[in-house]
Amino acid sequence: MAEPFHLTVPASQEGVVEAMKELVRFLDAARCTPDVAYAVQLAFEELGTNIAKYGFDDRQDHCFEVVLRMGAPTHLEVRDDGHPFNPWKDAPRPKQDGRLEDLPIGGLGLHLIRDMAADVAYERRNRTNVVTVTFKPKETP
Amino acid sequence: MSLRVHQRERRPRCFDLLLEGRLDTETHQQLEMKLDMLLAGDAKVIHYDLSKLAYMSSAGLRVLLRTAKEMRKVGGEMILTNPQPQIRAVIEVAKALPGQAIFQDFDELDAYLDEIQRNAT
Repeated sequence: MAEPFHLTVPASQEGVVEAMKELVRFLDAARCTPDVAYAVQLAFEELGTNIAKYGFDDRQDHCFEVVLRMGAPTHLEVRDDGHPFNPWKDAPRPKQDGRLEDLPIGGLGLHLIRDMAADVAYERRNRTNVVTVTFKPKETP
Repeated sequence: MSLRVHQRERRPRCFDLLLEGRLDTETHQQLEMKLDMLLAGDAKVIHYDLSKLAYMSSAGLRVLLRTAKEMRKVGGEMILTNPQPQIRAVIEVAKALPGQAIFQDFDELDAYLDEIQRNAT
């Protein structure tokens, strides 16, 4: 199996934008299916942006870690030492009769990840949020 | 990692916006500004041609949702054409735009615009 992609990302919008460029280069070289490549980028952007915006309560500079292991399935792990936050439980979810446009910022992105991923998980480990998203290529009929 | 927005007025107050590149956290404000200008100019139909859009995150989807909402307010309409499979999946999986018109080509779009025009007269 290929070496995982591992990056330390400044917890800021600029940090997420710069890291995305490296992630796209890695995904291009990895030659994974377009649906997995898309879903990985989406999950990274949504999770990274949420950490940059809401992950920390002070104004100091922080970083978070991202690890991508390609394979069948592919795993994306995002780790930050911000305040405890389980995105799959603590974030707002769309109401059945509600409009998605009314979801607070962050909620919409997490909703997209949940729908595109094969599995999502969270654990609080050594004062660190560890969020894992698992992707499988779409089965062709 | 950029977005280019090509604009033209297909019919009076009916604007085509061809989106090329990526619509995400980095670029969505560019489209928001364009949208604000069109809304101020009394647009009735905003048509996003998504054929050259390679990637869209929730930041981009929010611009589409806002467009649909603003157009509803003025009795106008947002139309989408030619989304690539992953973009279509984001739109459909999120059930973001229920009942929203999505067309695969310009012939379908023109036929639809003709129908709107006929109903309006």
